[in-house]
Amino acid sequence: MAEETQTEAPAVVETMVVKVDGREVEVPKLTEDWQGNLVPTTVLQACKHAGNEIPHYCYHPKLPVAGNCRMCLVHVGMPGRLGPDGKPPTNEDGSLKIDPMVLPYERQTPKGVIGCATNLVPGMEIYASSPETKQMREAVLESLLINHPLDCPICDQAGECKLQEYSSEHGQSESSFAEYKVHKPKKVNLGPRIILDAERCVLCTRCIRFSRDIADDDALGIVNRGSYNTISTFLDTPFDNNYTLNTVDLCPVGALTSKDFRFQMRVWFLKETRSLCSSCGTGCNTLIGSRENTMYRYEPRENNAVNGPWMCDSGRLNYKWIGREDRLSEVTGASGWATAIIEISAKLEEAQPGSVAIIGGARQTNEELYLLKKLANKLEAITDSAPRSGQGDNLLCCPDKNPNSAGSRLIGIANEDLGSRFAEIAQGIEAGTITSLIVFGDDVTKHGIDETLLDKLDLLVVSDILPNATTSKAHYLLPGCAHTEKRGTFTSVKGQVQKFMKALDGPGNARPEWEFLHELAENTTGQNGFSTIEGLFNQMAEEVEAFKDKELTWASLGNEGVTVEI
Amino acid sequence: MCPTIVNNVETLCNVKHIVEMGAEQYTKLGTPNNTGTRLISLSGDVKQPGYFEIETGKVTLGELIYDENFGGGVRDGNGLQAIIPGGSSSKVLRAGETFPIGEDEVDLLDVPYDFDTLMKIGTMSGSGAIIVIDDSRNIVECLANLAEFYAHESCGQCTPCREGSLWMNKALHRMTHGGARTEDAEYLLHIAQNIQGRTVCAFGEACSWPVLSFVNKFKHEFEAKSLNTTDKETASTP
Amino acid sequence: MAKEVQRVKLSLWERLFFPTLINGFKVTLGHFLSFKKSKVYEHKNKTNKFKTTLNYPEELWSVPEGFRGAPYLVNDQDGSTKCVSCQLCEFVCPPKAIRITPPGIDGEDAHREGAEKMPEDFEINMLRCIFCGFCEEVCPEQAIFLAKDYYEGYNEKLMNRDYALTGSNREEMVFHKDKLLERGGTHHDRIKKWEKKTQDAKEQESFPVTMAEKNIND
Repeated sequence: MAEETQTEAPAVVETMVVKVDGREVEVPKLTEDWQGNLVPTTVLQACKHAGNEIPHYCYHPKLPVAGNCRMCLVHVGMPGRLGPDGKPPTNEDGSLKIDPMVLPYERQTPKGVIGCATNLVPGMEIYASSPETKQMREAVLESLLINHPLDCPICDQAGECKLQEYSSEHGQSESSFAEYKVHKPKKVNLGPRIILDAERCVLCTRCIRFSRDIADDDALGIVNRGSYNTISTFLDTPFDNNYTLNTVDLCPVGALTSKDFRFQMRVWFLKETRSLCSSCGTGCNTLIGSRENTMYRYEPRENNAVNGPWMCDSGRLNYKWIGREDRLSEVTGASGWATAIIEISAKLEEAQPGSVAIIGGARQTNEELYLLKKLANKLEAITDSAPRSGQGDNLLCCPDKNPNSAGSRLIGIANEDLGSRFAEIAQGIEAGTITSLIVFGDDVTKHGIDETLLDKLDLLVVSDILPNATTSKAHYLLPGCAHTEKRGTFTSVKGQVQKFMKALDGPGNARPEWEFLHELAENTTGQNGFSTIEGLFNQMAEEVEAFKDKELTWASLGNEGVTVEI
Repeated sequence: MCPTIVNNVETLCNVKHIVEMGAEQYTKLGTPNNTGTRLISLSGDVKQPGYFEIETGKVTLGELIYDENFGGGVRDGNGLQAIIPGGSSSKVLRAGETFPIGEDEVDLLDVPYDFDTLMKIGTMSGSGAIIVIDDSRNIVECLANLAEFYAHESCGQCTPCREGSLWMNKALHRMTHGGARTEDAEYLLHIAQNIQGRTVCAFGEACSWPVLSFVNKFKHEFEAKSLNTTDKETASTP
Repeated sequence: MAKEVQRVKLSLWERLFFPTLINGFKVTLGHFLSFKKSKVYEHKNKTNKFKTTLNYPEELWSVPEGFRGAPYLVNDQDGSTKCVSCQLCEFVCPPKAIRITPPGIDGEDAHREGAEKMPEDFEINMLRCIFCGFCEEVCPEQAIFLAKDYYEGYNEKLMNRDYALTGSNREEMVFHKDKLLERGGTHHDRIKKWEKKTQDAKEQESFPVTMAEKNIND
């Protein structure tokens, strides 16, 4: 492994020099396009290298280039046409002659090029902040705004709207427009999750290109001509694939809005927390938008190793359970956390080796599963995780609906086939050889250990988030936290170890599982451990083979995680 | 999808001559660099509107309008006001204008109808569709008519043309329906200048050039529109 | 370098604190025996020129001209709530006295067609409010105004305007939407932009292709 990585020297990147605002900038000759193919670098990308962001609506790095918004118009200087000698015209000192582009029929008027679709030419000069460029931007913004309803007070996009941002950055304070605005359909039901306000639309066609080229559902198109252009589905066909909400993120303005987020909260109140989607094994990177302990939305967070900038609708909308009224919030079976932990650890210490079974759900974090594994090693306990499967697709949805099955396997809680040891555990309980059961985050009654078997147990410790048949049988019920309420790591089905941060507080007396598991493990095994998530992760990384190979530490995970061998 | 070609009638017309005469003979028609024939569609205020085939550069604009073989003169004995020489998107030419061609100052009616000369005088021969406007027409209303056409034709793909073409149409509609303002000439120029050269296709130029040329060459007409109170709803409106 | 301030050494007599007490009583006694006309209550004290106290709440404090009042919500002349729940006032409010509950997708329809939404609840904690007027300034809808309030049972002949923001507990001092609207009264809206927009849409333009009726409320 180590030798291999050494031989993979970084490919030599060919560069070229262009002038941006009079400053020479070295940029790569080729840049990845939306599909990851290397294509010639564009003016827009060169300006980005130079730290000069060109405003744009229709351009998106992960979508095919359309070049229709004209917001990225920049004035450039080009070398002249090749002369009869096959050489471009030069200045007196022999350097390449660069002429600012002008209209061919009106040579006093500067001509702009669109940054998103114009490839760099050797010697090119980009006047990214010249008065000519500014005038072009002002004019395009004025055009975009003449028929815009300017209803920011009732628009959910306000605060993260590119039209607002560019208007204040590049726009004029007033428009000469003296006519009536075009009125288009508002509050259009495009599909089960999307509302269209056609008046706000800038017709960048990002949503159309996304549906067609990424989601593979050519559902959207433009109807009518000229200023009456409107985004529409075909007749009454609903826009209802599993990726529709990405168009809401893509929409630079408030034309496409989410029904789920409609009029719920203004975006400037939302605190953003880096997190992960826990709905399947893909482990899409997310941003949680929360305010004062209420979660309002998930947004995808770009991670090219996992989900790109997208995520599926089903995962995105799967957060309502976090705020449910019936969340478990109190310890039962003991007067509180302290007594519960002491009593449980006393009982576990007395337990015969091999008489304990531990179910560590694959929705628990790597750290929690690691602590459960430590406990299991001490008690010589049999362990497993419950499988969850569902529908997958070719894009992001994974048929494995557990967010951390890979982690469960790597840490040794479950073997390759999740849930294969449940029958053995059930038999053990039936035969009386297993007298204690510890369950974290799974409803074992759905996996062959039914209520009558649970009644036979001397000790049933259950930690979960929501009530189920298993929690109702628990001798000790330890309320845990959702992944939005604690820190930790998940290992995706492809082996990406990624961390997530805490956005909310757990309800009532609920505590992050790793926190009380640490106490339980310490009491039972007698080994002191780390009481911080960073320390715990680093300790785990030393002991779990796959993590050790990559020399993982909490810090080295970064925001995008590290891929380990699975 | 199958490849499709739609041939212009003029192309087929040329093909016929070339096949019949041979290429060498064909290039001897017309003037140097402007060889062959052109199909002219003469319309507007002429006595005999219709299609004519001419040798490129061998006929002047004046002949096309006044010659008995072609237009036969301006309708109803009116005077000439303007000529749109190459389809409605080409820049308009005002009657009585003179242009420096070579060493001479040439009158509009003596301008030969070919590609290079029309380009030299700031317009184009384009599709060869000549529109003649006589002096009974209000030039603002003529432009309003053109603008309405272009607003309808704009596909809406890119921003400047999509928004600008309807904007110009609305402004001209307002001007011709009693709402003209003194600043409207500048206002129209402002809109049109922000379309030309900034669009995906040449339609941006096509819709902005008529406006630019009409307003530049007939500025007084546009300014007069705001002072003309007869067609205003209320005379007191500023 | 930090500056050290020396504590003043008090003598034994001063440390008894009697002198300050006595000084205080002197002021009170001075007012009690004063024959100077009180300027603050001048206009109230027609009968007793020398009175220095008020019989609140029968008599009210006269409010200085500069007082702008407390923030209240307004309806327009048609009785429609003007607030569209944009939450800018909530954002700008320095003491965080304003709290808006947005309507969500299932909320009550806005009174004006086209305005699309209005707040489910609008709370102003008058105990936190500092009457700075930022909310009025930032409001894009002219829906919140600082208004001078009148005492309940206000009789114009007897009483002048008053600060009167009273309540018997903290909960009462959190004014909700209904109370704020009631106190704010009516603001004459000359533009009526939402109605105008809807009207314009209906009259001025006929959209070329009518889209299938897909209104979300259906």
